[in-house]
Amino acid sequence: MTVFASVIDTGALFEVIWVSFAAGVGLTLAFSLAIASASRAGQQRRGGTLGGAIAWWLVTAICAMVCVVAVVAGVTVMLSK
Amino acid sequence: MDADLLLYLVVGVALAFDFTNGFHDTANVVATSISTRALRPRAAIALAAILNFVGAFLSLEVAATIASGIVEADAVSMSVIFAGLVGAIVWNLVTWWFGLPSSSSHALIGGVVGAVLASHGPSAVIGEGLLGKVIAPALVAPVLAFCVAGVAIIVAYRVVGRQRPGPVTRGFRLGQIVSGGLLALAHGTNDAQKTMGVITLALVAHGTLPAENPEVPMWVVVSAATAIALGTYSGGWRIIRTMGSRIIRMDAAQGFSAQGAGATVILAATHAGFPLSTTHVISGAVMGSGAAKRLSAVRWGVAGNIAIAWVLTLPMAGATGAVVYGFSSLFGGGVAGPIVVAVLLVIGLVALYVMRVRQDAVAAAEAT
Repeated sequence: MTVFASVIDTGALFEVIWVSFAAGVGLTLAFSLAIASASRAGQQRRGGTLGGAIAWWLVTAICAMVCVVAVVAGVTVMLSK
Repeated sequence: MDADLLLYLVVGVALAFDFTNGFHDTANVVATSISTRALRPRAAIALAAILNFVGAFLSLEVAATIASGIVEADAVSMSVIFAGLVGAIVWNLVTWWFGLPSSSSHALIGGVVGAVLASHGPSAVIGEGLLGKVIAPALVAPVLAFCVAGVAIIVAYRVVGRQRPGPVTRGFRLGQIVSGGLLALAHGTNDAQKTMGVITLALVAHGTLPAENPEVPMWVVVSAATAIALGTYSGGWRIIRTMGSRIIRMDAAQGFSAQGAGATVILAATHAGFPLSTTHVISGAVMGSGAAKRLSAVRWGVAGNIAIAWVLTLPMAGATGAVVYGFSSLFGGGVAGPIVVAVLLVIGLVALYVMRVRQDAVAAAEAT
């Protein structure tokens, strides 16, 4: 362990770990919420509840926007390498 | 004259390595999209090829010293690069033969290290660099991707668990097109750069480019991008089958989680300057998304074979690189040795192609 600790940039390693968890799980959470809320919006619309449908579509739009921002951030990381 | 011929050989072999890198690593990008039917196989591969091509142009921050910090810089000659490239190509072909996803970058580093060992001895290899830049990241990458994808799929199932499966599957398939695209772009950015770096190094050693701040010629960028894109488009169906269905049988949510986790881990590592192998990350993510659903869903025998291939990559590519360097030296220090090796390599490639082309056609038909 000591040998590894001396040759690894531990700061970069911990950054990779926490950013990976935050971004990886966050992206999946946002996309899953977008899918689930879009599905619920469809159910509400078919049930005649227009207000509820609009609210769920709003949630869908916000979550989709989060995903788009994540993708743009990913491309930016590649460009700034 | 000899130096010119050796330069042409190194450039040709570097582009051949780039081509094998493309078809070998295609599976990392497209296998999950194909197995969950997010995209048709040919469409997935065409998209990956285009994005690999584009990715090669995104950043020209070339790692002009391949294996920098791993071997002494003055030990890297054109003959060493040639032997290292041949070692990497041979290992890529062996692992493709057995349908095993292994790291092309590690194969290249292993080949160069082996050739340096043969030419200059152990003193020219920097042990700390090898441990810190290659071995430690190889341990971190699959474990981290496994955990991120595992947590991500648990979150995804919890959120969409009560929804109708049809829209959910369609939604995740749509997401896979984007996450797979990001992966292909990241792969093109990372891996085409290595070939550009190798060719640039050879041009510097030849005297065509200055040693101080050499600029990568446009023909190098275009040819490296084209080689990796063509390799990607040719499709390594055997590895695609392993990644797409032999490790786990995945649904669209698992495919999205694996690709999303893989892309974020690679990009986080890129941002932090911590080098991780695309192959190790994606393989770990695929296993994690399967194991989080049910441990027995992962075919651990296949996963074990993949892990063995990872462990063997450095020593086997290194041994091949060392043997190629030693064999070339038998013909004197000129270009005769590399020419003989190149001819043998071409004969081997043609033989392999003839033997496998029918089997790959069958595999492609099964995937469609």
